[in-house]
Amino acid sequence: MDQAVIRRRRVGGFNPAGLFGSTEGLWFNFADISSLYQDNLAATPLTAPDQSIGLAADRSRVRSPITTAAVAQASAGLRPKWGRAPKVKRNLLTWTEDFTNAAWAKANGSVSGTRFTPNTTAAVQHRLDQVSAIPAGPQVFWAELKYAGYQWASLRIGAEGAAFDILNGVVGGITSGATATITSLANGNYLCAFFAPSAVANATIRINVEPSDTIGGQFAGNGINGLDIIRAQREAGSTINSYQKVTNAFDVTESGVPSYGFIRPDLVDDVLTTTMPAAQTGDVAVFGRTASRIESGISYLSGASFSIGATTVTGMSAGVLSSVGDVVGILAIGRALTTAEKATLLAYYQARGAGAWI
Amino acid sequence: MTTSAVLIIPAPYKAGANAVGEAMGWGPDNYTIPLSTDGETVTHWACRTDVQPSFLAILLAAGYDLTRAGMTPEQIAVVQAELDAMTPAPVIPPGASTVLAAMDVCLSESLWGIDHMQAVMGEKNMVRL
Repeated sequence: MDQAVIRRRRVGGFNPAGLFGSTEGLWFNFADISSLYQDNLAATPLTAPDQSIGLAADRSRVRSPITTAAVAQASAGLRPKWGRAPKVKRNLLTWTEDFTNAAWAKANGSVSGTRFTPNTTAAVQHRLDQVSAIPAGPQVFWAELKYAGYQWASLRIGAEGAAFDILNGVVGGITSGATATITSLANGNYLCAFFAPSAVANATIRINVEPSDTIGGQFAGNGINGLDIIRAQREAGSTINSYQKVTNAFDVTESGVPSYGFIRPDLVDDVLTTTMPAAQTGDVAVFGRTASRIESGISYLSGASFSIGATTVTGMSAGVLSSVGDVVGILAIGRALTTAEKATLLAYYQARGAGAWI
Repeated sequence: MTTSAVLIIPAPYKAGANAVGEAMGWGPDNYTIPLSTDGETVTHWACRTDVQPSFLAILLAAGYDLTRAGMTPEQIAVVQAELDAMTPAPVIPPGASTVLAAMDVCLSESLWGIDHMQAVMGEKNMVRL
């Protein structure tokens, strides 16, 4: 059998709880919503992204009651939030189907439902815009648009962009060095895409209504006609990938692709705490979506406090939570893991969105 | 939908603010961030959290002037509608009006977590001790 297949099967069947046996330790798996609760007494299970965590059960072994060795927070104002995202998050935008949200700034127009309606001010900008991360290298900004009274719309990254005829499905003017496509979808919708070269490194993307096939023309709306905006995506690369719906900063989903949970401590005052059930010395690993980190020879006394937050994990280097990003899982075990165990553990969490060791 | 909030209370009001928070079901000791306006003594305590519209409705019911939190009349009208729809009407804990009169509520839809906290400290010329 192919070695890669064997490795995948081993990882697929691997459960970090199997590392413990009779060894003391703790394992908190934020990727698995079934071990998480909204309150610190484990009375109300976590049910959805954007909720705060009051308790995370220890999964290193069967605990009874479930609050035993669980990290918890009694104060509502100090609880980290839980979110979910696919293993690979591509869409750099947020609120990608709710253009009424404040994440989309509006200029000379307003949004109701999916419709952006330019106002009666004579201006060159009747638009929505959003500031996001800037991809390294080439990028694609695309949106699904529908005619609602204006024939032309443009997609821009900073001052660069392309105009689209969303009545007839034709690409209009494009700024130098870029390309654009328009694809007819169902119900009169068009997938309009602007492909920008590496040189276009601007954080702001814009969706404009245009008076003609040239971007940046001045006009005044009638306050009635508009542009329907269904969804939008900005991503690195030169191809249009599957759409990722970003409901908000804590909820990213993609059709046919699993999303994995994480906590996002605010790095200010969010803390989950437990009491060490027994003394231990060994490895502590934190798996984050940006990176993962393992540190060795960390000792805890029985009855000592073990905390996740505000910026580190008890016993680990200062600021470790700042460097790993959203936390998918944390494991503290009372022995040194072998090289193979570390690799398997990392693979388990990389399959759930974690980054490589740092 | 939640909004990032930084709640700042002058140091003498910390116990009262925690008592009000506990009476509202927030649990104990929510104000854990020591802040200073002179860089030496703790003059204020803060809590960075996320709040729902229902929280703002309770603030409104307790007499908090939401324009102090930077909210527009239109946004306050939305909160008022949230309050009007709450059944039963929220119970305002004893001492809430005194605490709220001293409290700064800083809201943000665009900044979150440490970024929001740092922005607020910058605006108010405060440092974390």
